Amino acid sequence: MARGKTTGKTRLFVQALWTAVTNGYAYGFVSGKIYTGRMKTFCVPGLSCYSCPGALGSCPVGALQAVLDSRSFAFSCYIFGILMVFGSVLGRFICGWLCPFGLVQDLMHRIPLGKKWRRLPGDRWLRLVKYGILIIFVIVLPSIIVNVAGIGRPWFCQYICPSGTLMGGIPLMTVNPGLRGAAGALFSWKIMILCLILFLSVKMPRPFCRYLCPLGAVYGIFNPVAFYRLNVDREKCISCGKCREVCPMDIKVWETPNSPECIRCGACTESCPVDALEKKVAFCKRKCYHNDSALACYHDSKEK
Amino acid sequence: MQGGRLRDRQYSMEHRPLFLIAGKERTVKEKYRIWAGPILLAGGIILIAAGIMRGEPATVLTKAAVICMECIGIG
Repeated sequence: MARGKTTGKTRLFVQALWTAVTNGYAYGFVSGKIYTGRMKTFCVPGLSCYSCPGALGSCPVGALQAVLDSRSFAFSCYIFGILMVFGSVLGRFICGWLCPFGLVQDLMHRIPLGKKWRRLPGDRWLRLVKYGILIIFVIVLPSIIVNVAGIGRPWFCQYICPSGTLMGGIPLMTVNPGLRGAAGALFSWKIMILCLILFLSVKMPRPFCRYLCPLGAVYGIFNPVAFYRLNVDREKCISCGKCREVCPMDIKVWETPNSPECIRCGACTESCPVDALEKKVAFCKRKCYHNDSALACYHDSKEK
Repeated sequence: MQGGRLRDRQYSMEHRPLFLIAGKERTVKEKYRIWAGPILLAGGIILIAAGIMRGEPATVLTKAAVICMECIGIG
């Protein structure tokens, strides 16, 4: 099997399995209703709309807005705590392996349609947009713009989130005529955003994760310190750039192996011709490479 | 050449060893990185516990147990 194929297939299987498990309420797809049990108190790690008929858990971004735009709370200890736990353990491994909308983008990118793009013009600045969306649409606007009853709106879900349209809106409207009749200009706007993201996904890998996803922005902040990490053996690395060629996020892996943009897909470790890249989990007792990573420093004391 | 530059940077002032951690000399950056993950994890668990005591999961469930019209694009 060619280098780079093993991890790709395993990842696709894990993504599909995780999506099926967390969106496994099959009755919802048939009846046009959603699951209403207590499991929805818990958040799934990825961007998975809780209005999807099959959803068994809550979306962290939706849940965060739900708490912030409620009358009762100005700050959400519960959701920020969940994000910190997920982020500090896995970082953006979640984006690469456990996000249903990431799976959708990966599948779309497999469609062979013309020449593929590496990045959009202004890529460096566009990557900052997701942090703006996190701050403005997820935290600030739901908190400060409230109606007379003191209740705000989920701005990101309402005006941007393509996952809600794809996984919630379209399946529900397909089987529920009442909802179909209520669709208007807002639904058209969200369909347009979804179509744009899906088209871009065909042309380039993970456009939503790169530029727009607020959940990716949160997990990206944790990537450099998360338990799950990537190490570069500086002695072995020849800086050939093969890792960047296969990287869906277009990262110079040999320079920033724990970049906030890295979704831990593992393509770089498979493609490295000198095996200079290694995936590691913090505080495990396996031998690892010497480099400037904190974890490697911790581990290599075990070699003595 | 590129590999040479990387190795030079590895031993720049920013990366010079300053602290003795786990039996080896470590930089300031490494010192913080070792403990940042566990500290954030512990902080996260404490925040979850605080959130549960404040009754936030009920708010999440209230919102998640009905179809979110905004999320699906009806408004």
